[in-house]
Amino acid sequence: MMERKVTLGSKSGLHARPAAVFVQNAKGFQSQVTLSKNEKTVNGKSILSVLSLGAEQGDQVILKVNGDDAQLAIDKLAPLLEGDLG
Amino acid sequence: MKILHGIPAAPGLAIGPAHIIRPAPPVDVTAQRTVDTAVETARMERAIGQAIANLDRLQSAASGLTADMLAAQREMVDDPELKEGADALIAAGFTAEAAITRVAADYAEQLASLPDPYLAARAEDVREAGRRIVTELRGISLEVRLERSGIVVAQDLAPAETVGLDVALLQAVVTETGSATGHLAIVAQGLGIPAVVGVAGMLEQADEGTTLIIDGDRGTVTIAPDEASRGEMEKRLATAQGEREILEVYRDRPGMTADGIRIEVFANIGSLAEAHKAVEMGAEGVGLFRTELIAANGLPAEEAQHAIYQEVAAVLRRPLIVRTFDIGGDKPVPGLEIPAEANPFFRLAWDSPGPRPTRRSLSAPDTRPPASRG
Repeated sequence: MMERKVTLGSKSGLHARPAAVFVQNAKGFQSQVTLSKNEKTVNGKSILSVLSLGAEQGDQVILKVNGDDAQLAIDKLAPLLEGDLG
Repeated sequence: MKILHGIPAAPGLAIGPAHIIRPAPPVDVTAQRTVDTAVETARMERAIGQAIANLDRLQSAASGLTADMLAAQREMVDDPELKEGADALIAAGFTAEAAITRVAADYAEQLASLPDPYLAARAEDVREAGRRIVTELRGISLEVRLERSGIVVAQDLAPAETVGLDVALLQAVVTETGSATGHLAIVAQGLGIPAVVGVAGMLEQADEGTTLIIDGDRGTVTIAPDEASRGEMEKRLATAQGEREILEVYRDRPGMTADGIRIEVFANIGSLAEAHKAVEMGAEGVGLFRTELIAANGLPAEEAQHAIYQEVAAVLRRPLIVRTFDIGGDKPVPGLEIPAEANPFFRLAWDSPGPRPTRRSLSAPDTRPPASRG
């Protein structure tokens, strides 16, 4: 399992469009993907769960991936969260 | 024949068959399935697949904010947790309709309780995603579609419901709710389609296919008009057509009074489609671009706003005045909870630093379009 702490770069935080982009990318990997903020951990392949985190720009979230393509997944998904997802 | 009165929302006359959009009956969330778990689960999976296919089709024809909204809808319909939750409820004995509606309502409540007002407003999107699946389960369509030209009759028409509506076939719009300055009125005015809103009892009185006369100037709807009404209507249509032909001569001439004083004639617009229309009608510029209409599905990101303004400017290639979001009052925007004011249109020097949009923009700086910042 791999884990990375990231600071959200998207201006609007994890609003509908950035969340949709993230989830679409996460679904491209076999690995299990989770996002945590404060005490809450959610399925990174579920837009409803990702939205329910209520994450805003500048918030720190923990990205965890677990599976065969974990390295590929974390290298792709972490920069997505740090960048401007739109 | 019967005449109903409403609020004139967009001028013009139209005669045509009623196309009635009835609100879907509510889902019974206690309904128990009568078939095996496996059969009901397969039914739900098929419905989810169809809802996704529909959204893909709509998305491929959409652009900008509408496309973003549809992309988020698609992910919601295709959400693994939504499906897992519904699977569990089906296993517990519920119908697929009840299961999906319950799980979507749970997520909607979670989102509604978030402090970020934009995310809280997404609760309605989640419910809509659930409704899309239920619609497929019931074998009916959510999008308003017109097979042939007609007059759309509905309780209300949300921007999302009119995605995919063929404007060329839309003769007029009648709704039971709405106001003269609401979104529907402005959209209809921009498209040049007559509209009457706030017609109480409309859905009860009209049947699918019934001939209607819509008078968007007087705010009346005539159901199954008699010969005399049709005759009067045709006379008025001919007069209006004649006036249009006379005026057409002046379309591409510069605005000028009889004694030679130059007055520029500008258009008011609310969308890219209306920018095209303004050019077509020979407007010398745009005096008011009502930007709040592009926020009908939620406040667009700065880049998205920029792209829209640029596109409009490119189509016009003539002066364009952009008004900052005129939000609140009678035009609520999902994602921006603006407390109700006693007099949203009332502007007093001691009460506000300027007219409503400026007042809102100055007190909530991050909603200003880039053009007015810094």
